[in-house]
Amino acid sequence: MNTLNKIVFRIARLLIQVFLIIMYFFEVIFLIGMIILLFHLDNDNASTYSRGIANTNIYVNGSIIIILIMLMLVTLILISKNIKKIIYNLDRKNYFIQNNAISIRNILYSFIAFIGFNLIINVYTSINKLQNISGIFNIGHSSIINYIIYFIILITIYVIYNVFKQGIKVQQDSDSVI
Amino acid sequence: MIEINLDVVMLKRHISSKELAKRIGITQANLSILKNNKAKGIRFNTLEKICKELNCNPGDIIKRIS
Repeated sequence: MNTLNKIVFRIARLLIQVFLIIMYFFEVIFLIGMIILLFHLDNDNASTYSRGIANTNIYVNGSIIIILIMLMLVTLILISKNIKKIIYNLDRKNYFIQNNAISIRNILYSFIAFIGFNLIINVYTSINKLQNISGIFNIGHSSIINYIIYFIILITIYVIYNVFKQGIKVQQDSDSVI
Repeated sequence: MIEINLDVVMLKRHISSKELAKRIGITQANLSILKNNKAKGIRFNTLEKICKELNCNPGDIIKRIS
């Protein structure tokens, strides 16, 4: 079990590291995209792009959506970093410590922010009738199923957070018995 | 209320906290918590080791005061 744990933790840390690199890469890409939009560096092709998002101002809508997507990516980066911290602690057999509870709480808040930004984008794209923007995060293709899944994940994180909080109390109680 | 008289017994046996902690295999910090009545409880295992090292009975260390 110990060996299995070590292998699982090592693979998880590696995957999270790769995921973080990809997220940072996307952040840079979106930042470049936003700069191009804001400073109208791509004026010639703007009319071509705006066919996809008909009757809208590509500069304003595009910038708002890019900012929201970047914020969503930030929340994913925060979630990944906190998972990495928890795995690091679990690998060192520090199970019920305050840092783990704080990390899970941060994951919970980040995930709430992620859902919030996703909801704002979907509402914004629906109001402005923006379609065919991107497959990423199902933007422009909002579905109630996604939010049900998000809600289940949110509840799971909350339950784990409570288990850890209770675990810390039990651990402290056990530590005070000599 | 339960009181720990460990320091009295240790004084009688002329043993220091450092030495006792080393012999029973707990940290000096934990022994200090026990001596100062700050511990929530004591394990039978620890109590047995203390009694063995100090050559006494649990009643000599633990007393109930009203």
